[in-house]
Amino acid sequence: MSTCEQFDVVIVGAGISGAIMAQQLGAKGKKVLILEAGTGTEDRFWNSESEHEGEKVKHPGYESYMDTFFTALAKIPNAPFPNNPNAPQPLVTDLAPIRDNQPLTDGYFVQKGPLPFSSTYTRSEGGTTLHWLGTCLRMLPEDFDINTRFGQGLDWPIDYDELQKWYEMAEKNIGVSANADEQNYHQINNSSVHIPFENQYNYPMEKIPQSYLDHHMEEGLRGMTVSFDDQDYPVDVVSTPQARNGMPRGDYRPVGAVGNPDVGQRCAGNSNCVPICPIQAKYNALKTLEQARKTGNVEIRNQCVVYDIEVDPATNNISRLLYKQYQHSGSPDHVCKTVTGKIVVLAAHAVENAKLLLASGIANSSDQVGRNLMDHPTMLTWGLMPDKIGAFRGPGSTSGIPSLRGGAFRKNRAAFRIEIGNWGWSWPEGAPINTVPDLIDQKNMFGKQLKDTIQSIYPRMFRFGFLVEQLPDSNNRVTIDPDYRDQLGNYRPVINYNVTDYTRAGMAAAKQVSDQIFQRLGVEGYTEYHPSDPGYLTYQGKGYTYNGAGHLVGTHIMGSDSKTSVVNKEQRSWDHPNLYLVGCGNMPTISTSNPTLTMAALTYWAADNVLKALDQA
Amino acid sequence: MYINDECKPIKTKNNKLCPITTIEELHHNLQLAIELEFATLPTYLCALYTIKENTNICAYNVIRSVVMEEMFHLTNSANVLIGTGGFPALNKPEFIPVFPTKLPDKETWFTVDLQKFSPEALTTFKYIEEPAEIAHGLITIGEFYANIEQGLVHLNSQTDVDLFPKKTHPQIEHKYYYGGGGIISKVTDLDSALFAINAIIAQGEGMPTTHWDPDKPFPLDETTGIFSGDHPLFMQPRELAHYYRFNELSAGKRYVCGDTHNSGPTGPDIPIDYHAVYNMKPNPKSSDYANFPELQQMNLEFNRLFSHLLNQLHDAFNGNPEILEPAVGTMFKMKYAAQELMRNPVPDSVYDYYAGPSWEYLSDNQ
Repeated sequence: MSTCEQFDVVIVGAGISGAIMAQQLGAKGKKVLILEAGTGTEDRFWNSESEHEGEKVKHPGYESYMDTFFTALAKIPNAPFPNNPNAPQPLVTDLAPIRDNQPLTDGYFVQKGPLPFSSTYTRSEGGTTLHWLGTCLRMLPEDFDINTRFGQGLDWPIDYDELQKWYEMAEKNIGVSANADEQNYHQINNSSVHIPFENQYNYPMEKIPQSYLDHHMEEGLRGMTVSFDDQDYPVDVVSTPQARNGMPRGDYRPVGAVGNPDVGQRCAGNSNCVPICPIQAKYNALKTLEQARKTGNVEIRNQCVVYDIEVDPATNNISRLLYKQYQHSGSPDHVCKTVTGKIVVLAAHAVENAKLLLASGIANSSDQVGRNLMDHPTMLTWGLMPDKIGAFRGPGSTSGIPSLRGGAFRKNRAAFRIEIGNWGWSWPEGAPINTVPDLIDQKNMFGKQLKDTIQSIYPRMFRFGFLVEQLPDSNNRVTIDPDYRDQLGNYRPVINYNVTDYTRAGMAAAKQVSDQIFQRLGVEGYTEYHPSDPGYLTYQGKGYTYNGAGHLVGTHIMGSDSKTSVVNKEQRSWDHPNLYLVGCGNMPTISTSNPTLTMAALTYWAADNVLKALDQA
Repeated sequence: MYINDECKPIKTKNNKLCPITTIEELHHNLQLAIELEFATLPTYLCALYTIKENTNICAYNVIRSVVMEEMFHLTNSANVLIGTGGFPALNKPEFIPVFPTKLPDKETWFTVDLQKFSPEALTTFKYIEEPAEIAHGLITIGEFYANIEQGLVHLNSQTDVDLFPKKTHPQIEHKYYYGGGGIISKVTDLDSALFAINAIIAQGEGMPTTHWDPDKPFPLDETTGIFSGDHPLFMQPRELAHYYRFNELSAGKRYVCGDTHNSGPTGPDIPIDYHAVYNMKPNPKSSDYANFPELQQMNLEFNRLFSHLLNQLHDAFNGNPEILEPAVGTMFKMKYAAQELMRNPVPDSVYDYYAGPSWEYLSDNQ
């Protein structure tokens, strides 16, 4: 007897990759179910109430995230989103240095080190796009075969040319603002970073206006070069492509907030992109989920945590998914249910996909599941500009320095991209929320003196972020341990993580570039790296600190050999014909671009592969 | 909103609009359309900005949506004026009414005040937006626009009139105007001009109908409002025509399936809290702040921004559409300046009034 529900496709996870998959399949008439572990807001912007058997039932909307954000003491990236013991999530406030091999166990992650893994993600409907910055960079052509070119890392089973049309699709559907004639980097005197774009192609919206700081940097750095291995490289400021609504090109229509579409059709400069854009001018996956629902073929079930996946031994196909459905995040009470799909897609996030595969004991003939976990260890440098540069205005970052993303130096050390931060010392020092009270409480300032101090210092605050490449390393991994479980009895991720000398050398080179730029612009440096920082490390006798970028990559990499990779180039499991894995977990290397756009492009491709598989069956 | 015999700029006869027969008359009517649309904004925005943050969410969104559509109407009218070779004029003190006002058409039977969000304000809003069908014997804005449409058709049929000249100033296109109440379209010929004008009529007063029955249920579905014409034109969610949107607020209830004009809204309650509103003095004047230099300064700052906005809009409609982009930034600044005023009590005020902006155009030397 079977009471198992059946769908064409069951997707685990309602983040951006699950949303794209569902929308693409739903639009082609496939019956799709998404199971989301976290809570959600469905298509509501505003909170609402209904009556059920005489009781008032609350239906939180996106507004509820703003309410939570306003009252949160620490405005960390996950501050607006519910703390849900049934679908716990990592927090930056969980972090501490790992001493004497004692694992950190206080947060959701069990961190075994030797260094802490510093990135977090969001387990709610919409996923981590709820709090991302929205940076939408393409990878460089050379990023796809760094093993062949530089003898480092892994080659991808695909190349840039194959991915290009999917990049275009992702940029259009996510809604990216940028100018193609800048983003091809052809103006940069370093051919390693040039990116070919299709003739006539342009982004759906014009680039977001660059900040006053960006222009100041552009002017100050014009003509500057730095030297690596006796070769000169340009230091060029270029606007950053962003999933943020700007001026539309042609007949493109910017997509406003879900449930309140009149707002958010243009960025209004709330300067709060992370942790939450109050008007959804910044893309989040709720927009794609709404489009998926509107196909009439997609059901999204929140508060359903998949904990086991069963395989039919005769065919090696996934036979069913087992999940726990809970009523309230405050209570572990739940019911166990099963569901089956002709095709199963795991879109739960790099760490959660790996955890679920390991818990189910599937898809791991290569022994690569959970391995090769990567991030962009992000080193910050900060200081005071000689003049006011309008800090704390506009989106978090509107430009960067991409001219050092590629080059022959990658034989020896990691490449990096430089992000120019518009929000002063918000990241390194928590300014102004954490620093202004210090002026009052510790320095006893008030009245005019306090005002004058703030007015003379804060508009001059400046910081760089160096997003340093990290190579795939089989020892950097997610595992599970029966001793560590959450409230529902599901596994918590156990993480082993380190940063190799290749990346540390990249950090050292980045610090040198930073020093040269600070000197050239007359920036008074305030950068400090302390051994008490969770991400403190040393290289050649000097100390550096990295932060998490929120770019969780690896854990089920794609490849052309079933013995060394988890999925093939179609993003299908080598072991199970009806199992597809999507998300950043598929990426064999991280290189220097924020991974979301590449992941979205890959997912559009994967959706096409799933459609073909369904139509052939 | 009605147009009556006293409305001097427009020719009327026996309480009917005279047909438009010359380009000059057409341009005059379109300029008046721009002024009419703009004249509603200060009163709507005053009510909107007196609402305290994160309260009266439904009311806030309804008023905001109407404001956005008025700006859309203004821009549509301006495009038709530009497309027919005219020049919108926004940068002059006469462009702004002095409140309380009878609106540009000098009606005698109701007055438009700048006032806080209140039942009285909603009553005024409903007067402004009253549909043609219930305006017995009076000329409505809908008919005013219909007259413009007829004028366009007539002039287009005249062989000696070059109604849509090749060389005009650039119009405001979608690239500059988006996310604001509708999708702007370029006016190049009769069809596109009629499309632009019809969009105004449809949004403001509902789709014009010849057989209006006040007892006929509105074509509502389960979750949305009255068919306003948005749906077929712009693929936007269905919304009520302005009058009915305001009527929902003043009744504190939603229209649901089966409701008619005569039944009024019978659906779920709309939570409204008239106390969560800054008690702005009605029709604020610069002179109210003569003895309070801080308020005076804030009001001056608001008027500077407001004047700057009008100059920017004037330039945007007269050859430099890209100026609409920074003008949006000025609109945000005005909002913050207005809200700052509204949070400040007027000292020694008998009624515990708070300050508000006086909406005055300052010429360059002021």
